[in-house]
Amino acid sequence: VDSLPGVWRGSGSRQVTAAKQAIPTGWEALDAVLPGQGWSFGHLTEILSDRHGSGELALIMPALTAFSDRGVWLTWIAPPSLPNPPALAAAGLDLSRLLLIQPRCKSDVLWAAEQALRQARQSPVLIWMDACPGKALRRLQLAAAAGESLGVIVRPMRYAQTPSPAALRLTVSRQDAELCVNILKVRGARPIRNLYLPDERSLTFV
Amino acid sequence: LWLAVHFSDLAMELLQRDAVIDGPCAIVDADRGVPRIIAVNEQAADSGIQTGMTLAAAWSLLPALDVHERDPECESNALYRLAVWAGQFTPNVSIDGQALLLEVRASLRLFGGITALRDVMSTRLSAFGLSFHLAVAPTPRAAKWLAGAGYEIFLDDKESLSAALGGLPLTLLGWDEALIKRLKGIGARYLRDLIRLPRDGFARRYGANALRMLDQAIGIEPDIRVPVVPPQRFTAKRGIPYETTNLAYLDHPVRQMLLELDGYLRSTQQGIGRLQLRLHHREADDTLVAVGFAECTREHKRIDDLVAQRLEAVKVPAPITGITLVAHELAALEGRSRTLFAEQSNDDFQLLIERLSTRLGAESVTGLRECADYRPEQAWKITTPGHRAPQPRRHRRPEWLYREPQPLSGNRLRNHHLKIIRGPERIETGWWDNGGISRDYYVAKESTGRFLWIYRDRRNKSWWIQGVFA
Repeated sequence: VDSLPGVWRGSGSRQVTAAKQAIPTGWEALDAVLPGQGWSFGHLTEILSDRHGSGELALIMPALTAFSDRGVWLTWIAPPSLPNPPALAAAGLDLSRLLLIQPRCKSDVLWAAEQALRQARQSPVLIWMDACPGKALRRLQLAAAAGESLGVIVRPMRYAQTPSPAALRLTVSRQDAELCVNILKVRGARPIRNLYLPDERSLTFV
Repeated sequence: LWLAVHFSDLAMELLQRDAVIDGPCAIVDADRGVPRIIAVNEQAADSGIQTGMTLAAAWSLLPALDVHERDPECESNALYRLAVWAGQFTPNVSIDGQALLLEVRASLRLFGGITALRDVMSTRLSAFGLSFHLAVAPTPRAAKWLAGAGYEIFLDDKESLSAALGGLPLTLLGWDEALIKRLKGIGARYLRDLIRLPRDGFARRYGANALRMLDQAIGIEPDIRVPVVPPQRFTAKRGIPYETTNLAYLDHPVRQMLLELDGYLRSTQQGIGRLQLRLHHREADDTLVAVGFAECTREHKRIDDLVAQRLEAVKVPAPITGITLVAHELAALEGRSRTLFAEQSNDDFQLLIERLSTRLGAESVTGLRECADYRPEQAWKITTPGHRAPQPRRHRRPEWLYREPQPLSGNRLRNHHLKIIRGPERIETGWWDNGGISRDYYVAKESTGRFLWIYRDRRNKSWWIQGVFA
């Protein structure tokens, strides 16, 4: 059973998921509780936050930087405002490998997301969206599995109670110099509340 | 070694492709005196109409018969296009009557043998929806006769050639009817009967031409064929018989035109950078659909997908009567190896970018770059994805930038909803291009924990939010 892809076994899967199928989040405390010790490929990860700027990008930034170092393309679909190039470059992202997709309507967002997840082998696809039918999310999950891509969906906090097929769901908020993460659902491990991650970059302000 | 493809029902199939036919229908050829039926559709055949009948006889049998005159130009044009398409298998393709003749000896290794070549060819050819027979023989004429008779035989040695040809009925050679009648008169029904006849007498009685063809078929006489030369430019055209605004009806003709294009690109070893579809209307200007590729390509699937996608989004003002495909930016493609994994994944991404921009529009699929300017509005630029720009270094800037700065009421600052934790950083520049600013920038912390990037315009003392730190 262990050798079959796509088969997960309760809490034991932490060993099954090889390091190759995940990329470290860059947050030690978070890696420790995630199966595969990082964001896993071929799955959807849902990040819920109150308003943008509440830490959702900071949370994935270390992984994005790691991808960028390896020359991997980063796909951003329908971000809420313009990503600021000087800041992204300062954070270590390779701007020439950033693909920014701003579709005009919601159905195009889903279409573009599916295409990107399917095609973006082993690379991250960030999708900002609001309400989304479960059926569409399942399609995206399938696309991520087919493309072995890292699908990250950023949605408002109010969808925390709505069921979702994402393999990992977490909320993030900012508390002073720390990010507070609640893992609502994670395949192959137990949900965890109030995980505090020290955000060194925000320390420069305090 | 010659491969012959004989199109057995070309005239009727071309007619059915370009016109609406929904009753019994026949094609007549009036060139040889009495108009005779040369092709019939299924419904006409069911009513007893046969090829070879005179038109008068056919009409007396079925007065409702829809009769079309043969269009030799249309047929030879179609054959020429097929010959160009077949150039992907060998550079030596010629046309003889209703058949294409391909010299395939040199191509056998590339395709892995004659059987494999035959299979590839008939699979690709069947997409055009024409009926055909394939035969292989050591001489072009033998191959043509065998295919024309519907004998799908593969011969590769001259010894077995006369034996195989011997069984061909004379009526299937496409010879003059008067000649065949005379040959019948001496009791010759099959080719073997002719081969047995004394050569001198045969030539004297039935013409040197008939003897030469016989000799060429069995390989005694040389048979030189002039290869078809592919055109410099590629265009393809189809009529849409059911005038329609429904673009789904274009699928089939467009697919066929792209197949033609595929054969053309393969045979000329070129790639295509851009193509244009013109949808013709009866009373309106043509609708133009342009499809561009990120790089010169010959990948059929990629071209097919992009065109289909592009067509999906097209709106037409009036029914479509025809469609023309024009290829632009043709360029020689060097044989490239695609072995490195990293390169391939970049190719995948180029494909993704193409696909996304075709549907969403290029302005929705972009990259970003930095510019060396202190003013935040001027510090970035939208670029094509993958564009590499030099990176200037500078102060910490927010990861999120508002497209337009948003007004901030002074109340929020006074009521401590916002706490300034860093600043000011004065930015005063740009007087040289009329975009001058004079601002004091601060980092402010919201009660929810977010860090905002705000400024005070020094000229009118107003407060603005310009960005959010991630």
